[in-house]
This record gives sequence, structure tokens and C-alpha cells, in this order.
Amino acid sequence: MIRILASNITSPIGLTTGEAYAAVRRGESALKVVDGCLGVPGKACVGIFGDSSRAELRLEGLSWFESLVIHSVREALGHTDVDPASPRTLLILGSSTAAMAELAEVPEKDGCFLAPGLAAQRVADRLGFVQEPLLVSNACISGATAQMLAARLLSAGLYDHVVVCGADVLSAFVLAGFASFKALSPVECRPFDIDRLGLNIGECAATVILSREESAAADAWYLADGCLDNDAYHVSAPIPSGDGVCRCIRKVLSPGLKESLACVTAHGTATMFNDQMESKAIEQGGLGDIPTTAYKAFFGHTFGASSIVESLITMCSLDEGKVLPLRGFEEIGVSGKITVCTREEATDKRAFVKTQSAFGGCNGALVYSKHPAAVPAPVPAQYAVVKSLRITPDSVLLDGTPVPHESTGAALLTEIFKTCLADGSRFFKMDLFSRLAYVGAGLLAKDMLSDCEPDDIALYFFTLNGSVLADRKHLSTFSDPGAFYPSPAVFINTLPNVVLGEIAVRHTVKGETTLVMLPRRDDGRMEEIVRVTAAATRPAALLYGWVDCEGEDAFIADLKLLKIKE
Amino acid sequence: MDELLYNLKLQIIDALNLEDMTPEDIDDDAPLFGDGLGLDSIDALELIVILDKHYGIKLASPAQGKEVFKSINCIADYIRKNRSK
Repeated sequence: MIRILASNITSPIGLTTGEAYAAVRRGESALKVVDGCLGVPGKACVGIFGDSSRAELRLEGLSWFESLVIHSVREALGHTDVDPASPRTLLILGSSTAAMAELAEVPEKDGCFLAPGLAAQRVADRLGFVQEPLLVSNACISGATAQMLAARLLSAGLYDHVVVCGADVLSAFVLAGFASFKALSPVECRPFDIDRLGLNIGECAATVILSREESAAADAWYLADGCLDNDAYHVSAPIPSGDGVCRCIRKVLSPGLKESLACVTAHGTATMFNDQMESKAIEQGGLGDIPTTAYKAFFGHTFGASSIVESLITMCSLDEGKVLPLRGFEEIGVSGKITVCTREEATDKRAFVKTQSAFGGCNGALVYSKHPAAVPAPVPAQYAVVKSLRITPDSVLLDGTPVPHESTGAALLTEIFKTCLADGSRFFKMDLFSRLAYVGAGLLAKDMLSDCEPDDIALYFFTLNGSVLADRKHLSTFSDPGAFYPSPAVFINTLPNVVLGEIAVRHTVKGETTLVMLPRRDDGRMEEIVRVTAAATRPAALLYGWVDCEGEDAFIADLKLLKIKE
Repeated sequence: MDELLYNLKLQIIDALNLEDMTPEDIDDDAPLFGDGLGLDSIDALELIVILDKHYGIKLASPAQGKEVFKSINCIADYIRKNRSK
């Protein structure tokens, strides 16, 4: 069983879990309307730290993102005797933009400095962790994915403690991107309401320290279960039927669980499409009669932190025997039959489901409980490498055999796409990193997945630089004074997991799709993660490997397709 | 070809990365979404950026652009009536 030993919320309305919850109970919100926020023209309603808090929390020599993470992790560690310097302790960050968002702050730094995996390493060094950290970048479900990965590593007995911190910070980078998506509400957001106008962006870091225990202690919270998947529909639009979230809910809804649920803590971003989709998913998943609440109107959408901060607030409220009303909601504006919690409700139940969805098509449902059922240890499955691929700027090797080509560098990817794939996809709209991963996955998957069910195929990709080229391009679309024209097509590529969505759509992959960023290429670490993931989820096929792109003539994809042995 | 139509098509080809296409390949009256060019929701948002950047026209949402973005001729008409640069 995976126990939550300690936690922290570092938010504009409180610097500990207790403080943030107390602020929520007082009716405080982090959201405020700011004119010209961080240099972005016009008014924005955002969940932002005040100037004095920013100055106080900012650590010398580290970025704002790194500073927030360090505050959150350090405070949480302070409640435990967990030793970060033990090789049995691991740090996993979950972030959608991580250090990338701060390119604007440090234009003189090179791309490598801003690789999120290296930001995670600086955080780990400052806090005294000896294990190299991981950073999960799965857009808005990064925090959920990071917790699931932690639970698997703990269940496999590889670590005694995993510290999971989900964090994202507000920046012109992110504000401009979501402005180009016309997704921002100019006022406090109103999840599931008929008058909802979109989301508010918030900044926050939230931490849970997880450990594995044989038997349940009294009065402790557990991450009891969870499921992640992809809806294979579109990289930025959720599937209208809610199929992705619905399948996750159904998978975690073990017999008898529903009777113990106090509430559903929804993603509830207050965009037209998310809330409509999520209402269908909750209804179809069989939880339409369970009170649904959400907290985006308190914190804004805090991306990588959202899953953790919103789960922690629910734990605090259930500890007081209460389900909190959904702030911002007045009149139902979705067609899925759900029971929105409109006034504080007393409950003696101590379990809930947390749902979330993200760009890149990925979704998740996690179950937290004070009375978890014992889960049998996963039985390791046997897998065989059935195909391998290596792409560099001047060669393509499929199972060690060269694929003929004439061009090199970026043009090589286009040539291979045209000669081998040419599938009418969005290839030409992708950045170089995405093109590389997309072509690689295409060559590996070709004629190889037809015998697998869509939800039985998983993608696990690893990288250092991720989307750094797209990040710089995105910056260039709005950094000139008086020329603020951020491009949605460019911005979407700054989320490095989006290519997994492209691959999922193209090859109908509906299992887990996850991007992990490492401080350096480490094949042993990659294989460890893939092994515990395969043991926990037992997909029929798993496509994984290293994909990294520094420039038009400096990239590598080293991918393998695994299939389960009968 | 009308200069406005020609430039508009060039801008669309560039912003939407319509590889290997020239202005001559895009029919003035064919639907841009669905069957025609097969554009998607991100492309619709990109068209909003084109109108703002090159013609000084601000559309609040893709919903508002639904009628405008039916075809190249529809966009060109809208630009002629509403442009501020």
C-alpha cells in the first residue's frame, strides 16, 4: 500500500497544506485580475504570488520554478525523518513547462541550462538527494503521472520513499500560449457552469512524500489505485464522449469502492470542452450520483501541481468530514448527468476519486482512501524486443539494417516521412523533436500493432532537451514590443508530451502515454521505469526509448518495441 | 489572382505549414475545414492570429470565426470590410 507520509502546498494563499486549506475554508482565492501581467498585454485573471512572497521565496542562483519546488519539498520533508541522502529515496517532479517557461527570464543561457531534467537535478542537489531525479512532463496530468510512477517504483521495492512534487509557475510564456488558444477567462473561472468562459492560470508547487507499507495505519491517507490512458482523439481537444477519462474511472472502480466514495474531485478547468467532456466521463463512469467538486476557482489551473494540490485539499476537507462546494458554480452548463456539490456537505466517508485530462490526449483517475484494500504485488511480465530503431542526422537503422535515404539532418526526417509513412498526418505542423519521435514511432509501429487492442498499447518516451527548439520559437512570436502574436500551432509543440498524442492518434494507442525527462541519458533508469510500468499495467505492446533533439543536425532517437510473451 | 487573395493564401500556407502547396492549389470557394483543406481547431486559432497580425482584425473566438472561415473568399470579404491595416 502506498501511504502519504507528509505533504506541502506552496501557493499564493498559503505556504503549507494546512495554511492553504485554511485559506480555502475562509473563502480566499489566489485569483486576481492583473493588467499587463508579466508583460502580456491586456487584463488577465491569474493565481499569482504577490511581489513580497516572490522575493521571499526566490533562492539565489535558481529559477522561480526551482525555488518554489525547493520550498515545497523542504517543508514536506520537515514533517518526516525521510533522508534525501539515502539511495533508497527518490525525487520525482511533475511539470508541464518546468524550467522551459523561464527562457524569457534568462535569454543569455543556453538551451541545455533550461532542460527540465537539469532543473530537477539542481533542485535535487540543493536538497541533498543522491539519486538522480526524474521529471514527468505529461502536461496537466504530470502530477498524477508522477504519483503513479512513484507508486510503481515503491511497489517494486526499488525505493523506500519517493518524494513527488508537482509544480508550474506563471510566466509570459504560458500566458501568451493559452491566450493564443483563446482559453483564458478574464474573470474568476466557473467550472461546469453555463456561463463559464475558460480557465485561469495559477502557479503552485505541491508535494506528497510516499512510502510503501504492508498494513494500513490508522488515520493515514493512501494512494489506493490509479489508471492513466490516452483518448487518441486530438492533441489539444478532448474526445467529446469523455471516453479517455471514463475508461480510467471504470478501471479503478473496484467492487464496493463506490459505496466508500465521499466525492469526485474533478479537473474542472472551466473551458467549454473540458468540463463538457468530463461530465460525460463521470456520468458514463458510473459516478454521476456522487458529489462532484473542483478547486480551480481557488488556485487557478496550476497544471503540474493541480492533481496534487486538489487531492490534498480534498483530504483535508474529508478529515473534517466535509465535501466542499464547487466554487464558481451556479447553474449547470454541461450535458453529462453529474451531481455538482453546491453547498458544504457532511460525510463520514474517507475516499475519493481524482480525475484529470491534458493536452496530448492523456487522462487519469486516481483513488485516495483512508481504508485501502490490500493490493497484491504485481507479477512481473515477460517481454521481448520485437523491433528496434535508431535515427541520427545521417542514418536510420531498423533492427540494425540501414534504411536507404539521400538527405541528412532535419531533411532526413522529412524524406523518411514522405517515403516510408506519408500518412496525411499533422507531420508538417510538428517541431523537430516531435517529427523525430513521430517518424521513429511510425517506423517501429508499422504493421506491428494490428494484433493489439488500442488500450493495450503504451508509450514511454525519455528525453533531455524535449521541446527546447519549439520553446525558443514560441518566445519569438511575442517577445518584440508591440508585436504580440503568439501562435497556437507553435505553442502546442512547447509541451513535449504532445507528440505522444500525435502518435496515439495516428496509431490508435489508448493505453498510457508518458514523457519522462532525465538529467542525462541513462538506459538503466529507462529500463527500470519501463519494467515497473509493464509489471503494473501489463500492456500487450510497449514502445519506449530515448528521443532528444538539440538542433537540425544534432538529434537522436533510440527506440524499441516490446511485446508481452504469451 | 487578386493580390489580397494571393497574399492571404501565402500567409495561410506559411502559418499552417501546408507543405508543398502553392496559392494556385487552394480553391477560392472550397471549404477550409472538413473536406477541403482539412484544417482543424488549432488551424482555426492560427487563422485568428493571421487576421490580427496582418490585417488588424481581432476575433474573440473560433466560434465567431465560423462564418468567416468558410472559404478563402469569405475571409477575403471579411478582411475588405473590417481591416484596420
